[in-house]
Formats: sequence, C-alpha cells, structure tokens
Amino acid sequence: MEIYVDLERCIFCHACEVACEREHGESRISVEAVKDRASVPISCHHCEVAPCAIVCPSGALFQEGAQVAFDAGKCTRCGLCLLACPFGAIDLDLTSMVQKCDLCPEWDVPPCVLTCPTEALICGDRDDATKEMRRRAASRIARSYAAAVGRERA
Amino acid sequence: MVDESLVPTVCPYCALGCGFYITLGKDKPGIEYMLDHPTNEGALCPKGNAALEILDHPDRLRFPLRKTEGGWVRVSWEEALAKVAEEIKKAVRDHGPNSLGFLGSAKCTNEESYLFQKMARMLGSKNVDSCARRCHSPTIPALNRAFGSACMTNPISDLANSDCIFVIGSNFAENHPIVARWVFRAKDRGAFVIVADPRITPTTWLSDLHLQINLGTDVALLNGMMNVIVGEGLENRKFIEERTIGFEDLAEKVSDYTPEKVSEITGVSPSSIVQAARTYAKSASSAILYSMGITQHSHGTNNVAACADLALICGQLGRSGAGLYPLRGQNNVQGACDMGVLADFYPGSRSVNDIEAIHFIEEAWGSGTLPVGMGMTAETMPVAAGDGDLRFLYVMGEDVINSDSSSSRGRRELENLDFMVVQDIFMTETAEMADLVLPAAAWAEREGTFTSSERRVQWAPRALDPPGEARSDLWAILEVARRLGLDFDYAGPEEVLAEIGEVVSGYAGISRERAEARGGVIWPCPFLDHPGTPILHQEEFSVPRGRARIVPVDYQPPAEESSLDYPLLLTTGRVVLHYNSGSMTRRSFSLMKRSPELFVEVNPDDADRWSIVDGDLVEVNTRRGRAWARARVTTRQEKGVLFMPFHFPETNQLTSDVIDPEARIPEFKVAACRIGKMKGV
Amino acid sequence: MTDLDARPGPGRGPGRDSGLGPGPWRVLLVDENRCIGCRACSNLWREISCALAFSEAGPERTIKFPRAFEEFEARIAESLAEVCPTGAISAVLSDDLPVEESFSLTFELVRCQRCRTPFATEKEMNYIRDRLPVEIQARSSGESWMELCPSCRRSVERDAVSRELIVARSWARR
Repeated sequence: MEIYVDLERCIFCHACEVACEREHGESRISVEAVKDRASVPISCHHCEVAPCAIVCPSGALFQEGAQVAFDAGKCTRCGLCLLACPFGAIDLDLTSMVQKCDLCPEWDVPPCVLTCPTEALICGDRDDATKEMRRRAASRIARSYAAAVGRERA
Repeated sequence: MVDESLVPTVCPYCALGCGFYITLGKDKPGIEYMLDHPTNEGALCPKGNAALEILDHPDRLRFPLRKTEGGWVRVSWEEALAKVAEEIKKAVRDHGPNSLGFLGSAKCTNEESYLFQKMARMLGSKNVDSCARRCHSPTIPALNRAFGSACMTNPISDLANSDCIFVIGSNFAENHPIVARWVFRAKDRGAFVIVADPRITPTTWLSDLHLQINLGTDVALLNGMMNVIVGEGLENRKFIEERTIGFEDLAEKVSDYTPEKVSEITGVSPSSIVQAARTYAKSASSAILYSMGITQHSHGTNNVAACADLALICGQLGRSGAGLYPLRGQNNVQGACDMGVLADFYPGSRSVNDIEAIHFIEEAWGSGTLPVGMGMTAETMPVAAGDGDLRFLYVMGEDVINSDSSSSRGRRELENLDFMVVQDIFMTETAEMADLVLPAAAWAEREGTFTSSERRVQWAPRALDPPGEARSDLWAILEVARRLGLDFDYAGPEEVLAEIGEVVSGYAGISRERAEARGGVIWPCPFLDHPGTPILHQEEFSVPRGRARIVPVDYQPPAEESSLDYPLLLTTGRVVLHYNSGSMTRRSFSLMKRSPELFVEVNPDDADRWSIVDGDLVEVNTRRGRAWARARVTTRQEKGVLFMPFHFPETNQLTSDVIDPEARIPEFKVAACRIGKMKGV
Repeated sequence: MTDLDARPGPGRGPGRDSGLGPGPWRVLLVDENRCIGCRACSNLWREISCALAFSEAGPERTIKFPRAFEEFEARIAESLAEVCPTGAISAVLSDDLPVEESFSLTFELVRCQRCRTPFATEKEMNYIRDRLPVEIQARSSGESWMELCPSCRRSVERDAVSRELIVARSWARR
C-alpha cells in the first residue's frame, strides 16, 4: 500500500508538500517538474521487499503488513536507509529525524490525498489505485471518441 | 451539536471561495478539510494549506502608527481616528470633496466594502476604486454591454459538464488549481480542452490542443475562429435569432480574419485554428475560461468582447456545461465590485452616470445628493496626487505601490499627498509611505460575507482574535464615519448585510443564516426563499429586451513592440506558490522556502545570445525601470519572450502604463525589454 | 535515544588542563576494520564531528572522536556502542589518560555517477551491497541506482515514469 500518483493529473502545485509539512514538520513527499512538461511527486513506495528495512541496523524501519513502518524511538540517524532507498524517497533531516511517509495512520485518508486539487494522489493498494486510473483512462478514451463522433455528426 | 473547535471558513486567497475548517483547541490553530464544499470538495491549493501562517507572523501590525521625523510612533486609536477625521475635514474644506481618494480592498468583507464606498460617496467624493481596476476591469464594460451582467455565468463545478473547454489567457492549473479538478472531471467524460497561451504551463499540459499564440494576439485568434464558424455555417442560428442582436455586423467583421491571415498574426497554424473553431462550435456544451492573460492589455475590453461574441454566436450560454468564466483573482473582488468599490459604479452595478439609479441610492441611504460621474481610478489617483488634485488618500487593504504598473512613478506621485492613511495587516511598501497606519484584523479574525468568482456569497465567522490592538476594517470605518457626522449606526456586519440586501437586488434574499449554510448562496437571490441562481442567462439576458449584444471588435497589436534597444518582450503573471503583490505569501514560510526569489524565464536561444546560464543573476530593463532576477532557462516560452512573476516588487517597475481606453487597465502583459548578466556579480 | 548533547560534554582536551576531572576515564576505541563511516555516532553526540573534505586523493569524510571522557558519563559509552551498526565503538575504563585529545578516521567517498556529488563512503555502500538481495541492486536500464546520490535517484525515477506522458503532451502543441 502506498500513495499512488496519476501523473496525468499532477499540476505541480505542491499542495501535498505543504499539507504534509504542516502535519509533520517536514514534508515526506517531494514534487519536481520534468523538462517543464510534467510533474512527478515522490514519496515512500512501501516496497514489499524494502531495502531500507533490510539495512536498518536498529529495526526502526520494518515491514508491517502492506507498509513499511518507522519507529522513531529506535532510529539512530545512521543514514543508511537513505543510501539504501532506490528511489531517494527517504530524507534525513540532520536536526530531527528520518522523514518517510507513513501513510498517516491517525487519519482516515492522508491529508495529501484529501488536499490534492486534481485528485492525482490515491492512497491504496496497487489494485485500488490501478483500477481507479484505468477507469479514468478508459472513460476518457471512450468518451472522447464518442464526443469526436458526435461533433462530426453535428 | 456544533463542534466549536471546528470553525468553517472561506480561503482568503483567490476568488474560488474554497471552504475549509480552522481547528482550535490544540496548541496552535490547524486546518481540516471540508469534504462537502460544493466548489473544492475539501481540496486546497498550497496557499490555502498555508493560510494560517501569516496570522501570527511577527510583522503583523499591532498598533496604530503615526509617522514622525524620528520614525514610526505608536498612537492610540482615539488619536489616530481623530486625526483621520481631521484630515478629511481639512481636505474637504480647503480643496473640496473630490480631493479625497478612497482605495478599497478586494480582501475585505462585503459589509466593509459597502460601508467604505458609502462613506466616500456620502462625503461627496467620486474617487473610490479598488484593485479590480487592475484585473477584471475590462470584463465589466464588455460583458455588461453584451449580457447586461459582468459575471461568471456558471458555477465552477459545472465545468465537469462541458464537452469542450476553451481556455484563453488563463493558467488556472497554477492560479486557480481547483478549477483543474473540474476540468479533469470533464476530461474523464471525453471533453476536449483547448488552451491558447504564449507559454507552456501546467494548464497547457492538460490540454488536447495548445495554441501557442504570440503575445497580445487574442482578438485575432478569436475572430479567426469566428471566421471559420461563420464560414462553415457552424453558428447556432436558433440562438442567434431568438436571443441576440448584431450577428450580421460580426459576420462581416470576421470575414476578413481568414485562418491564413490570423495564422500570420498569431503564429498558430491555420489547421489548428480551424480545429479549435470546429470543436468549440460543434460540441454539445462548450465553456470559455479566461483571466488576466486577456484582460491586462491595452485592448483588454476588446479581448473580452471577442470571447463573449464567440460564446454568443455558438449559443454556448445559459445552460449546464455552456458558459463564460472570467476567473477572478481575489477572495472578495467580486464582492467589492458588487458593493460598488469602483469609480464607475455604485452598488448593484449602477452606473455613476445613471441619475435615476443614484436617486434610488440617495433614498436608500437617506443622504443628500450623491456625486455623479466617473471618479479617479486606482491608476489615476497616483497621477492626480502628483498633480495636486488629490490631497487625501485612504487605502484599505491594498498594496497599491506594488500592484501598479510602472510603480516607481506611482511612488513619487503619492509622496505629494497631504495625508495618506493605510489600513492593513502588514507594513507593506504602500503602508511605508503613509502618514498614519491602522492595524487591521486579518481574514480569520473578523466576520462577514465574501463573494467568490461564482457569485457565491458565503459567511466566514471570526475564529481567532487579532493581535495587539488590531481591529476589523468594519470597526475602523464606522469609527471614522461617526466622527465625520455620518449616521452609520450598525450593530455589526449582519445589519450591514441587511442594508446591502435592500440596495443590491441580487443580495436581497441573502441573510446571514443563508450565507452560513454550506456553500452559501449564489446570487442573484432576489428574495428569502429563492434558491439562488447558479446558471445565468437561462431564459433572458439582463439587457433591454433580453437580447444579448454581439459587438464586433478589431485586432489591435499591443502598445509596445520590440526594438533595437529593447529586443525582447516581457510578459508577467503568477505562480502557484505566491499571491498577487506577495505581501501575504512572501511572509508565509512554507511558501517562501519553495519559491524564495524573483526569477525570469528565458528561452535557451535568448539565453545563449546574451550568454546567460541557468541560475545567473540578471538585469531586466524596460523603458520604465529595471529589475534584478534569477535566470531560469526554460522552453516554456518561445524565443523573444521573457516571463516574470509579479509577486515581487521589482516586476511592476518594468511594466507598461499604456491603458485600455475604456477599462483603464494597464498593459501588464506586454513590455519591450532587454536582459543582460549583472555586472560585477 | 537519549540526547547526549543535553549537557555539556567533555572533550576540551584531556590531561594537562583538559577540563576533564581526575581519573579514571573512559577511553574511546573505534575498530577501523568495522567502522563504515556512517553518521550514527556523530548524530548522537556533538563531540564527535563529521566533516567533508577534498584531498588530493578525492573527496573524503573525516570523523573525529574525542579520545577520552569522564568516567561517570558511562551512558555515553553505552549509547555509542548501541547505536553503531557494526559494533565498532567501545569504551574502556582506564586510569591512564591517553596523550592525544582526539583521533580521526577518514573514509573515501564515492561520487554520484550523474552529478558527481560525493554522497556516501565506500564502506557504507559495501555494507548495503552485502545485505541487499542481488535482484534489488540491479536496474533494468543498466545504470545501477546504487551509483547515484538520493537526489539523482529521484530525478532518474521521475524521468522514467514521465517519459511517455511527456511525449504524449508534446503532440498537443501546434
């Protein structure tokens, strides 16, 4: 389970970052543009076989169900998880603590997902997320074809 | 049971009127999302998410301040208010009531705006205006002429029902992000999105067709589209016959604007113009979205008129999915206009030249004769100050220095005033120039109604106390008015709202209770049980005989062209993380850390030509001034065009002061300029 | 983790006017063969410093340890030993104060293949390589993420996921 992104919808507004920062002190999601043509938010992928959890020497990062959990009480700030994440999704704030998305267990729906103006973020397991994105894509393709035909006939 | 720790409110930033809750009761106020709000469904852009940050900023003005030789001195409210009244009386006595100027705010409540202009006019001054002048002032005459009403015709959420969305002069993905939510819903249903913009922006990312037009060529494009529509018989004959007048003149006018000719002017291929025209005309429901990209021009009124023409000849108005959407910028600019904080309008869109309408107001207010005729505007007040015709200026919640084009000149002019009082939440650059500064309550610290761009009137309660001795603008206006002998006897904003209902017919059915309900009420709401009017012009237009006027316009190029000395063209605009003059967002830490400084976007070819590398500090010059900015080399705009955001004070030192003849809005969007590396850096 | 920086630590230099009280002292020992140059100990206790320098041999990370500290600060010794991923740190009680005030370990840093920023010690990366399954370490595109700094890993990821979308969007322009 993780925060999935429907890249077609990300408009590079940083609302998710600002919301995450407000709730946690530091943002665990990071949005950057690519070639001025697209925008991609990155946050913890909650890998099923998580390199960060494998290397963590103190057990602060560990697999818990479908997520990778973080116990700040055990963290030694060694920084190895940073180096082990293939996506660069972990940040080590040297003054505080390792910052990694924990899917906001205290909320029903994580604030980043609620706040995203374009519903680009989906919190769920891979099936939920891809189902929603497939639905959107299929609807768009089918209906735009129908609309184009409608315009031809008009 | 009401949860008192959750206060429903309206976002103080743009004009979409998004709702959210302020949470109280923990160590500091927080935000919770309002999932059932009809416009934003809980979502918030980054500014909304950061809205609380400015409230406890150390820069907040806490006490009235008087300027002395030795600097700012704290004074009591009593002294401050007495001084304001004294200066007003002096100016009236020595120079007449039209030596008084009043610049209102697009961020104050309707009640505050209403009382502000009432005070000004009852003192005999014609000179009351607001920053609406700088943004949608072309919308007002153009749409009033066409439809009889100058507002967004359909609710934002109705965009989801459009089959074609034509966007011109708007980068809503950055500046009105919640609009994108509904555009995507439309796209999920197969809608075709066309965006006309000289730049590539997140808005063009989501388009199906991007028309990358040359700066200021919008009328040519629109007339070109209409040429195709008329030429191919795609106009909506029934609608034209039943609901409009003036089609024949338009058909004749646009016959010259062939796709080939328009292509030369706009830089867009003829086939794209044809495709855009056909798609807009043939779709079952089409919407037009526009904003500053077409209004902030020396021919802004014409640009808007052309948009109205396009909608009218295709009959794309007056029903779900079909509408015209002027996207307004500030949380209460619509309200400020409705309340008449405009040099050319009394409350309720009554022209200052309409004697009969003014009589009605005189009766409603129990006043003597009220001033007739156009007063000074936000742009002409500084000029008049420089000339000595304006002696006293009261500025409420407006950073006029930084919002003005060619702002250095404005600064010099304002120095000539006898007395300037500024009421604001921060010591803005405008406040720095005042003789007296009054500390105002910020958005969550006062209550009243706000009218969003969709004509949605919502009540925002007071959630927090203002710092120090800051008071609401409403209180300050009442105090000043009383000291001037005006009979302003209101217990609070509710009473003012009741009077507004008597004067502005669209607000007649809007009580505090109705405005407090989730999503408020969309005006016109002529009586208490009326449900409000989300979609306008369904049966009739608000003009005589109910028929909209199609007004043909001609293309005129922008006032400035590039030249040898100034070989590039500068266009200005906004970015998602900042807001207008930046007085609020540049004090908001989570926004500043993501967008800390003024930048200029340069095309790689231009960057090469002037040996500029991404990250260099550069100087941009126009005929009016110069600014230093961080260079960003990007392909967002074509060669020959620079872009700078105006959230930083330097940008408007560069912009053009050539104004639209009718709306008097300056051409912020086109200025001839040059760029170079900064020496010695 | 207790915050060892909450009280002023020793380390002004032992012995001859060192600021350290009379003995016995805790003498810090770091096993050079085990230490991988990570940041656990320096993040825990501010008396251990961790600095980046560019020598002739290339970029390196130098971790400087105080040689001794007061015996009653045994908790420092315990915490450091606990926090070290490889068990390289220990502290022995001694009546003799060592001559040197501090000692350093220096580690070669590896540079990011893309942006050339030094981002990890060689030994840290080896520690990780030894523990991760081989499949995770490779990348389909050939370039291994392990040779990139976290920032470039994000960029590469972004480029990869948005490639098709960018192509599709470029078609919309006329």
